[in-house]
Amino acid sequence: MKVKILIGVCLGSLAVMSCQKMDQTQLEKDAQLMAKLECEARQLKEERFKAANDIRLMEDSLAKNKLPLSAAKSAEIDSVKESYTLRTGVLADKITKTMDSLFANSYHTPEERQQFDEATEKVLLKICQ
Amino acid sequence: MKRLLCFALFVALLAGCTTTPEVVEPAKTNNVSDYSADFLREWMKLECRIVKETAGFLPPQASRAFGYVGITAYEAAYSGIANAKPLAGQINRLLPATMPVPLPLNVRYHWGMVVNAAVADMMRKMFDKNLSAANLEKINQMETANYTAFLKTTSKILADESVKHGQAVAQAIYEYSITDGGHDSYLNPFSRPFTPVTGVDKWVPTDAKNLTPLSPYWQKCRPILTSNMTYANPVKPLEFSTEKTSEFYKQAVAVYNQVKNNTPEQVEITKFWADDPFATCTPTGHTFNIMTQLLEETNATLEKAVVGYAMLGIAEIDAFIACWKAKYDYSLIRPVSYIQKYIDPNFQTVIGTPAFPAYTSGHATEIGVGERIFTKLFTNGDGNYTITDRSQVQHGFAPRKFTNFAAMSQECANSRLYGGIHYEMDNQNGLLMGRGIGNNVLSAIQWPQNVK
Repeated sequence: MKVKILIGVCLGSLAVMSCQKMDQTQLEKDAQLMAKLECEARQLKEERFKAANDIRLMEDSLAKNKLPLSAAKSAEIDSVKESYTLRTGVLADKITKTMDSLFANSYHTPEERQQFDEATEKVLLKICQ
Repeated sequence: MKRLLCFALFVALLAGCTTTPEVVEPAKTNNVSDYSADFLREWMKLECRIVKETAGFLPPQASRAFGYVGITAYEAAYSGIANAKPLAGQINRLLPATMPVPLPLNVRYHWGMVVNAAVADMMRKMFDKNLSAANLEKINQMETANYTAFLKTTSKILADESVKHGQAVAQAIYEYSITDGGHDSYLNPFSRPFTPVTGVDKWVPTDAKNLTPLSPYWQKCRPILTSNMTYANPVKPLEFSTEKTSEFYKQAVAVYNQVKNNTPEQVEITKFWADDPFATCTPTGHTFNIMTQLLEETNATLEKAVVGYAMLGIAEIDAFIACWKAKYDYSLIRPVSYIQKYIDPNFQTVIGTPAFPAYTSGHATEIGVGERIFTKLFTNGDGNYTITDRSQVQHGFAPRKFTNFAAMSQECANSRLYGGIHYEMDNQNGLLMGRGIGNNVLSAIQWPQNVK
């Protein structure tokens, strides 16, 4: 009888451990997926801020020299902005949908989401320099 | 025997006359709180995307678009919320007589369909002439997809009545919005031609593209609550001076030193809250995104969602009107212009300075209203709530964590100092204005209590 109980406990423990292992694997997989997208978004963010800064410096220099912004330059700025808006929008959409789906299906509680954030950040540190 | 036969025939006759043979069950409840808010949150995410992609939706115009959609959703659904009062009759010049009357409560509207139809219609109307074909298609698709899903749980007749009511409410709120002074402002957000006031302490252009400031007549828009303008009347800014011992000069030097000594974390905070170049749906959109996240993570029903979006919508509209009034009452010079002229000609801010006067900060004012409304809806009044703001992850920012809504709004206000965009007085007085408006929106309107 005692042996049976012992085997039962061992099997139960194994099942719980394998389940945790599976969750951990799933977490790593999800974090990998999210980190890849977020890395892309972080790189695009840097590009966006750099472009905005370049535009600002160009405008500052015009203003300092009391030169007007030409219609052609203004159109060029608009086109740069539009292109970034579209690229950012498409990527943002993809990230939002991925995150919503992961949260709806796997990460329900604030604690689980926090764990997911941390796992994602860990991957980001590795892949997104 | 004959008597028995007659009795049996009589009973059979009676039974034959009855048109509803099934047992009548007591009516199930049909409250807005029985419905999921999932679809409404998706609408708000779509609105954020449309704001980003639609020309002319700068911060004041965006606050109006988000605000009226929130008002519409509530007004369409309030009659399905226990003890809820309509906004008509409570807010500035929205007369009950102009609103469609909901059918009696025994007509079982599908509240999801009512809100779906109302919000879809209002979004088409808000972005109207500048709405791209692609975004119009997105609105239509979302409306149809929700309708089709909801139709599985109601009859065609009730679906038609629900859609009809939602659309009628949207039409009524739209007509109300037309007369507010901000209608079609997205077609000329800078109200050009406009001649800015001049003076040593006055705003001057901060970029070569925008030589006149944004929406200089926005303060003339009709507030949703007139009393908000009283609560949001800031003290005068510090007296302008170039004297090194003056308080004004000290505020400018504080901006200068802050920017020079920013930590990498402070630079990141600046960009996080900046609702950055070409990408986000303005500060109001950011705060609406936070509301959406809070509703999702607290499993709020449609009831809490319509109340929350209406509270926030009203407060955001009035926050921008009040803030823009202060901006053009004083037309105060931006720190970058002052510092370059009197302290360091080579000074550069962390991010670009927006094209309108300094006092007070729009970011601080609008997050102040958010703070008060989140505190009311998601805490016991102390503002304590552990939130990880993930709304900017999509734009390349790490999530930011806060344990109190006041700490969150303070960081947003501070971010404008770190960025070199605002003086400290702009931020702190902006926050006070926003908090005043937020509190007033919560107390001046009879909102349903204990929403789920």
